[in-house]
Amino acid sequence: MNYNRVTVVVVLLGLFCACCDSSNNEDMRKRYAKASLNPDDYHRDPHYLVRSRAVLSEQISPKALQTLANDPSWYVRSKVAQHGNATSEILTLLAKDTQLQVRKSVAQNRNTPSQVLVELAEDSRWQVRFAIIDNDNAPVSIFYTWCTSPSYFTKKELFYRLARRRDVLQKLLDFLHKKNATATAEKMCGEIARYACTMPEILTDLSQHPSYEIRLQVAQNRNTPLDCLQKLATDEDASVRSEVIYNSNTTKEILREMIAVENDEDLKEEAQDMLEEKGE
Amino acid sequence: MNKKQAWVVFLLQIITIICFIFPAISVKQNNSVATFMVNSIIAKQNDHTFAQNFPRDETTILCVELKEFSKENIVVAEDVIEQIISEPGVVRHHSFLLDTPHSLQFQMQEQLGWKKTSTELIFPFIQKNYYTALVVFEHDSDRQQSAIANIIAKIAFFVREYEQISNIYFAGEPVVSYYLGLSSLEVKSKFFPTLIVFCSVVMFWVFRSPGVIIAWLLAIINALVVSMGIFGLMGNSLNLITNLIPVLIFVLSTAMHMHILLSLTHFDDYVLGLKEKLIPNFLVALTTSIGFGSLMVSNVKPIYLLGKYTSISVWIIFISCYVTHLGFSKVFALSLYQRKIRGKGFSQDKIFALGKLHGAWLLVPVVIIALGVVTVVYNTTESNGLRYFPQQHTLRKNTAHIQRNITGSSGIEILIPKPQGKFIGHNFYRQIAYFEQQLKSSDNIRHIISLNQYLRFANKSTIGFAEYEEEDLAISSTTTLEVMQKQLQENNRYIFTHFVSENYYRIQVLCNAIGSERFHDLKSKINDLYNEQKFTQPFIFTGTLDQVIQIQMYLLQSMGESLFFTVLFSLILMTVFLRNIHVIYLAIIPNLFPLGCMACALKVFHFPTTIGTVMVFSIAFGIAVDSTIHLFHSFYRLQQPSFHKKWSHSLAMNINAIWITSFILFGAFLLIGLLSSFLPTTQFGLLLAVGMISAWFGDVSFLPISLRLYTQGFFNKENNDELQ
Repeated sequence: MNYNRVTVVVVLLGLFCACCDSSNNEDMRKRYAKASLNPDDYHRDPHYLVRSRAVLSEQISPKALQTLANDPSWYVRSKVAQHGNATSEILTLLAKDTQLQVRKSVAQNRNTPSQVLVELAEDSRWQVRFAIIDNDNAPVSIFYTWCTSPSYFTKKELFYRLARRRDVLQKLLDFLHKKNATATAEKMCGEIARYACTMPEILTDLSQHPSYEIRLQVAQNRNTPLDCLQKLATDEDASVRSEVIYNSNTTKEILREMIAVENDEDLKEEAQDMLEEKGE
Repeated sequence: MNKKQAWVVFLLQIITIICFIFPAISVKQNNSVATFMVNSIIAKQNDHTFAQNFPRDETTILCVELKEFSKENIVVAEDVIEQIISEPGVVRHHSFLLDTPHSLQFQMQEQLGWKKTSTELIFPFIQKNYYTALVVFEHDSDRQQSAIANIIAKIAFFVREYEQISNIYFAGEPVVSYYLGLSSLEVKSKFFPTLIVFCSVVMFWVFRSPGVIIAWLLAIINALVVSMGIFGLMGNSLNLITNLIPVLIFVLSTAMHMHILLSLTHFDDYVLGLKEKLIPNFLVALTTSIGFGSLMVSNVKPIYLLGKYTSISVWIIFISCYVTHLGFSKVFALSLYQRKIRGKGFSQDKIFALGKLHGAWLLVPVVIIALGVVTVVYNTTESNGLRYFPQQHTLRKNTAHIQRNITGSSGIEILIPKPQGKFIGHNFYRQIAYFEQQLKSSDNIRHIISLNQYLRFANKSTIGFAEYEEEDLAISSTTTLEVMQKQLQENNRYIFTHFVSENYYRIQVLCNAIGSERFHDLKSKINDLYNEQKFTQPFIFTGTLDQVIQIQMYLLQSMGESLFFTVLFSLILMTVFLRNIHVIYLAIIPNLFPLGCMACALKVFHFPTTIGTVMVFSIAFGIAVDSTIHLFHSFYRLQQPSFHKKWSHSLAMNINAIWITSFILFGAFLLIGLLSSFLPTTQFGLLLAVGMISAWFGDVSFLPISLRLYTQGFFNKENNDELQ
């Protein structure tokens, strides 16, 4: 009889503690704070925010990560898809997720197999497709397809990203060269040079491009570095030199040098006018 | 009736309770605007057309206020938003980092600066220090409400957790519905416990017997469980109006029980006591059910449901009161009628003196009734759910903050019939583009979301490419439009399912939370703008704000109609059952007097006409007429010609029951009114408290004056002789 009473009291106390535990926001806050330090202790926590915190830790075990790949919360799954230790099996599984954010995270993960990335490149949502550009392991063939796409939106997204990724741009240019797609490459470089690029290194590279059209776009770009503009001021093509005169970043020194060495009388006059406009 | 039969009755009562308890407790809460949908044909048709052509999801605004606006903090805000909204019930969200192509993000960051970007985007994502997301919820009420509850619970946590965040604001119609639901749950958390304690104390004070309390509670539980069980089985859900059904059952059941118990006490005999009150209680049930039943003329669905199920409940209350005494009281042989009720309430002499007042005093209720009519006609109406909450309520503060700094959170839907044939014809597209341009510049319209706006957005995303220079979409070529539509369809397929159906082009408008006058101005402005574009077919106007304003339009209409039917049917029934045509004018002044007092109270308390006040007049009349019936019944039963003897008899039979019932009803409604911070419930409680106490006063003062003048031949000389 006594034993039964004790059991009832213990069970009731346990239930009371469990209720207090699950309803206490303060306690959740503590678990949330500890979860990233001891991920394996918290990856089965009832609250998805605590589980998502556990995923942020580098120390989380592959088994726990595998379990969380099937988590009911898409936020937790997207964090698994972002994790550096996510295996290709997990990423292949998550690539088929219905939630946009999860697929987007898979597309950005460096561990995602190339084949999965190729499949994601045809995803119905542009957010997923273009996230692939940020992935270092993305096959260049995907970018080539986009590069030749009739969609301006696709091309613009690609070019804006490439204008910030010198290595990827170089890979794509090599790929286009192998494919003998010179016209496509020139058009792409022209667009990047004129509208998209803010990276001085890429503009420096493009300023040495054999096509005068691309050099012309570089000369127009306000982000082109001064040494580049200085070189372009002596470009063999007159239209390129003319654009240098009208670039707002062109300094008085460059203009004076141009006036000194320029053979074309019209350009000389334009440079003189510009110099006067700039206060000399 | 022997004890065996009493046992059978008692067991049957228990079995009935058990049978109905599950459907009764599983009735769900639903306070979405759709549940308040006006039963008008046009409104229903428009809503049906919308539901047939487009997905029915509901949009809210979640806004993160950042301490410092930078790219890093935007990323933090986006992550916080994702953490907050990762809930079943949330369909998707739209935010700057998710929905703006990187190219446009770069462009904005580099060329425009973060804080100047709002006009470039389809959604109000970035303004001042606010990073905003539009969170779209499922139409399913349960999942929606549970998701909103979880989101609200998490907001405080994230504000504390992230130092980059100053505050998080959450607003929109589904959030209003959620808070309305919470407020209406006050019935469970506050009113019921208070009512039970209050009424138990009064009952114990009157009868000094635990048996009475048990019998009274059993009758109430029986009526509650059966009524709510039927309500649930018919597939209805509770909302801020229908939540009052259980409270009303409780109050009405207590009132009826009081009359029966005092009759049992008076006669010292079960059979006599129950029989004495059978006809008056039957009449009371009839008039009360008519009072509530008259609410069924309302076009506002919850008011209709309240009327329907309360009028059914009144009969269940009537039956359960009698069944309890035939079963439970008999089985346990409770000495209900042993204790005499003495010294409770006012002295009968003082009450009697009120009936001796001069006939001119009848002018007082007449003046009050006239004042009440004027007050009701000229009183302002309010159906904006937001204004039902106190000014300092989080929801009101959040909505005002978002409206002041970011956008409006009220939704209007404009559906324009599409010409058949091409996907969207060029001329039609131009008309749409001009129409939207003008809409955007209208007062109170904050944002427009449509296919055209997405195309503008897509155009911004592709600025700077040789083939695609920026141009005004209203004058762009057909080929350009077709190419853009095709590209948009490839890249954002869901836009087409959300904004273009086979038959309609949809414009979703986010506007300020405005009252009915400004709404009607806006509606006629939209009409004018639409007509200017010479579209071939008329457009369909619907959406949450439209539905809310429609409810408001029907409020006054409901009040007038339901009150008219209540008064008419109650008087006809009293006339038929008491077999006296003069009852009509004798009863009308004392029973309209409480309504006049309630209408004047609207002015005194500065209450606008709301969904809460519309019902109280019919309900008050239905309840007030009960005491009159009891007094009339006793008055006419005594075959004496003298008014004084008849009135004394009537008072002796009923005054305790009427006084105690009025006191219980007054106290109960006053508690409801004082305890609630939710405007419609406060109004409901306080006005009915005023109604109950003035109904009591009307019955003991103006009713005897009318009866005296009548018996003395003031109204009708011919009947004078007969009565004398």
